[in-house]
Amino acid sequence: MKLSSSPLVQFFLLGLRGVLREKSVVFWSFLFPLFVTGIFVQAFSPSNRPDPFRLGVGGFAAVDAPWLSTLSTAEGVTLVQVDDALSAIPNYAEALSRETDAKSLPSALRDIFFRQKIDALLTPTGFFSLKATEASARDVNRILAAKARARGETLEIRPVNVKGVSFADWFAPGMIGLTILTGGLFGTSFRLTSDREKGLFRRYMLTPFRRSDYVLGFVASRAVFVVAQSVLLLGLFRVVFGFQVHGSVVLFLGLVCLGSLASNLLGAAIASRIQKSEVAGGVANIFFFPMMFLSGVYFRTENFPPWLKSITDCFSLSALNTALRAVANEGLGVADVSFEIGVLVVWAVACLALTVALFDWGQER
Amino acid sequence: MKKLEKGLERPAPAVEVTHLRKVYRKPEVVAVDDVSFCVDVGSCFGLLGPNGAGKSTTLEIIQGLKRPTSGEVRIFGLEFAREGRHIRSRMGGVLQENQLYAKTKVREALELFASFYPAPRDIPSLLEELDLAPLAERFVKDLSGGQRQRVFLATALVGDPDLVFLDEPTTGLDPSTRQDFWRIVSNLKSRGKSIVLTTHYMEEAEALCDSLVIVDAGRVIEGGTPEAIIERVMKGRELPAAVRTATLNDVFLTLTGRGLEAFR
Repeated sequence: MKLSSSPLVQFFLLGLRGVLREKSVVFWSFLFPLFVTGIFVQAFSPSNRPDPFRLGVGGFAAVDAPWLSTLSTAEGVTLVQVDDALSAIPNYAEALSRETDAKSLPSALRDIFFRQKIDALLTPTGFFSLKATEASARDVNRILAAKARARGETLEIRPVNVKGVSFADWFAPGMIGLTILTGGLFGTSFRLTSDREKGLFRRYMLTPFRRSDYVLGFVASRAVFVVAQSVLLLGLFRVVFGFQVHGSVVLFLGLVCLGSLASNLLGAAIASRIQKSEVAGGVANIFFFPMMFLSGVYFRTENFPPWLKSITDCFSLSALNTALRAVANEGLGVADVSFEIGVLVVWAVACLALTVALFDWGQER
Repeated sequence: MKKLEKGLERPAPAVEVTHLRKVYRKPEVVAVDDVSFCVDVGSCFGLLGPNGAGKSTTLEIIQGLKRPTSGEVRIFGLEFAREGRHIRSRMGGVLQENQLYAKTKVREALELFASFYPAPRDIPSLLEELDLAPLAERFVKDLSGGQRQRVFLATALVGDPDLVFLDEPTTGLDPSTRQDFWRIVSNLKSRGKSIVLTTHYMEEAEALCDSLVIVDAGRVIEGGTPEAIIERVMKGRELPAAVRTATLNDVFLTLTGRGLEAFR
């Protein structure tokens, strides 16, 4: 028997053609993830700060004049004189040293930060910033280096983390994970419900076809497409953002495959009993939106309360994103992502069991 | 197999329906009420009646898509519950409402359905037989209604079935296309295929069916060959002046007070 005459292969080809012959697939599968990633990287990448660091300086006479002079010529620093404003605030130094919360500062002192739009305040008693960010840490280093140069000293500033992860490196695996979930949830649930709506299952039931051939062929076609899509996305992300997989690419694509399987079987489970394709989309949203926002796609979830984290860690998308980042960003191996693999396998098996038990093939029960 | 008096075994009929009954609950509707008939191997059998008479429900029960409330159905002497897969490998069908994937080519659709069967037809020759060869690489969505109906029929025949079900196969087709369809069905019959078709076109039933039952409100109200039914029911009755010979529509009108034409 020729391979192409196998019903499993025929359903596989049918599933693949169904995706490849839709022109909108090109946009949603490739251009949209690239577009969203580009927007987020531009918006949140800390290396992109168009404005120079605005440093408020008060109490001039007491501060080292040569240092100030050097600082005023430092790249990326704009000095803002707040001497007069500070002198009008009695005990400002004490307030700055005592309070750790901007809301607790005297209003006049708060006004200096906000009205003058300064990022930090340098006084004879210290350096004060309202922004505890990586960017402000780098600026502090720059200020210290300027001070050292003014004194003829060589101050070597070395960042603590030599190997860091750019925002693009962090974001890209999450976007790949989200693309996989979207295709599986919406693509599969819509396609299966639509087939039922058109009466195709009833038509198949007149033949000796095997139901497993239909499900496996379709899921396999989606998995192959998603792996190919991920390879192309990896290439695009590499070219545009310099993203690369530091660990095993085979493991990365294997996780993509497993994530696709779990997502597609979730889509199949959703489509099991739904008769209208519009309803399938609505039900898919019940799963999609919590996962999209709480699975670490757009922001880290390490700061979630423990009770919430214990729930979101069990989301299939959370497991997929965590595993993809572990392999891509940190170069970890199979053993290190075994928990996440287990979560994905549990999702796949549970959804397969639900599908087998509940799927409406058009026969009267 | 049924044994005749002289010890010869008669092959099982293609379809044997015995006291079939289908009742839907909530609301309670008796869709099929004590229907019985037999379809001989190699013949074309019709279920004729207006919309809502229970023809399609009867057909769907025979095809295994619905469960009867009571009664029995045997296909070539076999029951669906025990030999469902084997029965399905010997039958093909065109449903009342048909669809295929819009962005699938005609040839691809046939290859898909052919893969379900152990000994499918050669697809190029099937395409030739149904005048579909020029359309083999066309997408289903680009076909006319008549062309699409022929593709649906091709998917039903690609498995080289012994039994073909056709549920209202020419509804919505123009007369010329309908005549083409009749030619195809007649060819199937001449090749020894057994055919069960439902229709509300009396001329279609007269043209194609070796025997038929007339169904109304779920019950069989007449049965036999078209000629025998007309002779039996219309004998001695007065016909409208413009009509020289009785038709099955006249039969239905006589039996029910309504014409089949009114239900088109």
